[in-house]
Amino acid sequence: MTQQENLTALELSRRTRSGDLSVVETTRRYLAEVAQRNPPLNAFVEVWSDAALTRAAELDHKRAAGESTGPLFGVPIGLKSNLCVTGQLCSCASKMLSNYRPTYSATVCQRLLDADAILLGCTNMDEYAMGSGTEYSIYGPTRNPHFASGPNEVPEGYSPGGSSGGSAAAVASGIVPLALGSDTGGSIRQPAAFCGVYGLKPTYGRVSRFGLVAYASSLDQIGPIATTPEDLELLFQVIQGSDRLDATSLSREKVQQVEATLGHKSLKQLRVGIIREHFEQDLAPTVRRALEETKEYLKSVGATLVEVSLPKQAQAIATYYLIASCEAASNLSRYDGMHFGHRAQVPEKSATLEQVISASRGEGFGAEVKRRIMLGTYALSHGYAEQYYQQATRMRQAIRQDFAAAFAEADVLLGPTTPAPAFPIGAHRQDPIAMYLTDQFTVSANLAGLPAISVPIELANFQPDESRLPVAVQFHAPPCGESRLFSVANALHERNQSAKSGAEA
Amino acid sequence: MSTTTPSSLSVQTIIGLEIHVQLATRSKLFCGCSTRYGQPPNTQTCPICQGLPGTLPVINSLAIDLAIDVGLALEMELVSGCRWDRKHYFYPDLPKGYQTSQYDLPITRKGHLEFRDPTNAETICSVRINRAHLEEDAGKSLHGEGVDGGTWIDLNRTGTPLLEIVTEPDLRSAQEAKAFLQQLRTILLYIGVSDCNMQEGSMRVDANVNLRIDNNNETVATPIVEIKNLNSFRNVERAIEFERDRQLQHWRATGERMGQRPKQTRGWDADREITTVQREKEEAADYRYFPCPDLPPVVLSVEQIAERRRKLPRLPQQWKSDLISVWKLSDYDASVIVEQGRDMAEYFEIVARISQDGKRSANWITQEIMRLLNEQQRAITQFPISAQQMGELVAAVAVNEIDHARAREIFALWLEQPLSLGEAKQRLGIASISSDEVDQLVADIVAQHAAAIDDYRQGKKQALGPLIAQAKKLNPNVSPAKFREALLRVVEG
Repeated sequence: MTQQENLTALELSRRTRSGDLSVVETTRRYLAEVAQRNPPLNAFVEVWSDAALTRAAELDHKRAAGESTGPLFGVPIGLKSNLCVTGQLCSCASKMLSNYRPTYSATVCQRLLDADAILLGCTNMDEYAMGSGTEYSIYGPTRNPHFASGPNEVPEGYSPGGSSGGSAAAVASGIVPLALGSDTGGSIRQPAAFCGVYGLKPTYGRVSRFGLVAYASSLDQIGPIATTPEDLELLFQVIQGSDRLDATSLSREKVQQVEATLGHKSLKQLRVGIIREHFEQDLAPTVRRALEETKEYLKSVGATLVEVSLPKQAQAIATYYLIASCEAASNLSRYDGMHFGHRAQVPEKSATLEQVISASRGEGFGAEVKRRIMLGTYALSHGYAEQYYQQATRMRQAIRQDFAAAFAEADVLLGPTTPAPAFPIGAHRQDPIAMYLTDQFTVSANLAGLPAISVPIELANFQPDESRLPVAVQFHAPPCGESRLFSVANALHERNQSAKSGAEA
Repeated sequence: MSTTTPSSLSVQTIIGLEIHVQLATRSKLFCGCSTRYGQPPNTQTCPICQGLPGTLPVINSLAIDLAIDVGLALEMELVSGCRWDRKHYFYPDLPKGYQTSQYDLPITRKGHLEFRDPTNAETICSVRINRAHLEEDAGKSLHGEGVDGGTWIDLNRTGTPLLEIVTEPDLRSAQEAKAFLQQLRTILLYIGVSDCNMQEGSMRVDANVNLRIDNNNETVATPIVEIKNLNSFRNVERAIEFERDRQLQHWRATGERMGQRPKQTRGWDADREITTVQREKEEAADYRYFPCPDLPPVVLSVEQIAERRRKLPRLPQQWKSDLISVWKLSDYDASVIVEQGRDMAEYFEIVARISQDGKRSANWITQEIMRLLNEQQRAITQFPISAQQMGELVAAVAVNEIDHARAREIFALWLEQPLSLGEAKQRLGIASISSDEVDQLVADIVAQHAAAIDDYRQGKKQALGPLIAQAKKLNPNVSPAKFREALLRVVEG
């Protein structure tokens, strides 16, 4: 491996900005890295070498000319395949969009370019972001870089989680220092947890959704994945901010106002809420130990632990799958084979319009996408909407209120990101509900529009028979409370570093 | 309107209308594309109105303002916090697979509109408006126009803002429906929310029609039929009349009543002058309405509504009473001018203000100008004589500077050439004439026509007529009235 192996985005951008490293040279090395290391992982589905090198040369010129440089100067980034960049593949890992190249760029992608980042390519995902394993993809599954091979190997490898599994695996393997994912019910946090990296789902409205192919519009948020909390915050700061192209984005004034109300809290002043309902669930031993060690550490640095209750947590998964499926059924109506995307080859002279549309959708969408479209269509049908969709929106409101009550007692809430570490690829193939349950702790943040972070935890020791798969904990904060999440994560990162060196020593 | 048929049935036609009005915004409802009509296919589109994956709608606030204006003009309730809903159906000219509309929380509801009964000018009819909601238009399917005779799609119209105005079923005849629509159109034109151009589709009408039949002390209703996309007032009238007769005939043949058959959608075939079945509602799609998660609810502030009320142009009714009270017009003249639309009313007001003679201004406009516009099928905005010019001319006539006959000559000249009043007078040799000149003319005429003067003095009063004509021939600028006055002074003095 090269000298840049362990460079964080922050270090890398410092060195490219100072001229210590040339952007073209660095980009070449990263491209070589992808070529060499991606095949067994299948994290990237397309690498944009030409565009990346052209951009790199521009950046070197820019620096040589003494122009000002952006915060991500020369940093290569992987994009989930549901983010639009003009002229680049945006397939959503679906047959429906297998050759789709948008004619415009997402706001976040434009902000990355404005910050002088290098868009290295697009990463694998579950089709249309529907899934928790990066298995429902036309490109085949992505492998978790942990134990993709070696003594703990399982036949097909471990899942990186999903749906942003490609982005998480790419960052965890060191192919790129940063990646963007999207999180509708846990799709950034769960793969970040499975792959042992940091993942943030921002407050709903803090990051523009313009140019993110919609799955469930009221839940979707784009967010960063990184190996350190500093890098996570760096990327978040670049992509966040109000956007006149997204009517649901929060105004700068609103964010500043809410942030001012939240104020700054040191760790000593921090009240950490322990979510009773999450701790009561059946958790894998390593996950439970990660939570206990986190509690111990937070106590040791002076934080106060308080137990809080979110009584409606048992309904969260059902509520989430109803609302998400209803919105998905609506959002995916546009894929009719008429204007773009897959069109079935049917004898057009004799086929009716309905036959062409049905055949195109039947062939273009995979099984999980069809399952959710059917669920959503049913739940919105005349005579059923009250019983399902309306009921779910009322429950969503109740879940929001639960959080509001909990945040009266605590500044952040602690719980697991997932009930267990990564599962072997294909483990839930026959049981979609078991797959849905891996999201049981993550969907609530989306339903309530809250920011939440997954923080990897280095365990002090493992039992001999335990798999050494990464484990993580999750923190929730009130709306616009991202900075609280970053400060908790920074503290735990220091703890992890010393735990790691302790284990190595 | 009740019709008594030979078999002593009493039949009443029940009509409710849905009117789609294209709002006069320059850009579309959810993106910045132009709404200009008649551009080459798909040249006024962007990723947003093409419905490309990842795009999001952002509301055009002018469309909200115009909807508020309609709400104010029709005395409707304005709903703050109104919502956007998605109405789902698959069709190639609907690129998102849903139309963004307003379902259960429209921006305005519950108003009314008054209009003159077409059969009795003394009576005012009132129709209740159920609601008016905003929605985006779909694209256009061009059937059989492709090189291969296939269907092509033009998305220029996609996302154009529409206001759908829905009435209660308060109309009772095709003539009433037409009169209502004309009044609605007049109001919408006055407040400037739409050009209401029916040929270009910026005003489209669906009519819900059924019959209430009193038959031997029993009242029965026929199934409701919706006639879609009527694009002229004449078609509205003809289609409703046809449907009334067809439903009566069908009821006679089958006895079918409301509830025994689902609501039917029919189209109007203007060439054959019949309605034809498009679909039965039973097989119609379930639209699966649900609130659009991409758009926050529209909050209308008290200040915003007050501001729109302050800026709301005068309504036709207000114009009419102003014309009557300020310019002393008859009810009839005021109606004639106001019904021509805001441009005509404004034209009148300028002419009247400059001439300070409302009655004379009204006469010129209703008799001369409207006749010409009618002959040439032109609008007042295309009329060659400006309101300022017309005002000066009427003023000159009002102060007897120019007599009516010469004023008509100037008017005729102005239709051909854009001249000032002075230039026109010069060209036509029109000059004011002093009383000395008139007296000289009288003296000349008296000297030359002694016989006629004698006849007059003998009591043949009509003998003076030819003398006045003669004087006008000698000097076209002489006012017949002034000449006659001077002549009488000499002859009788």
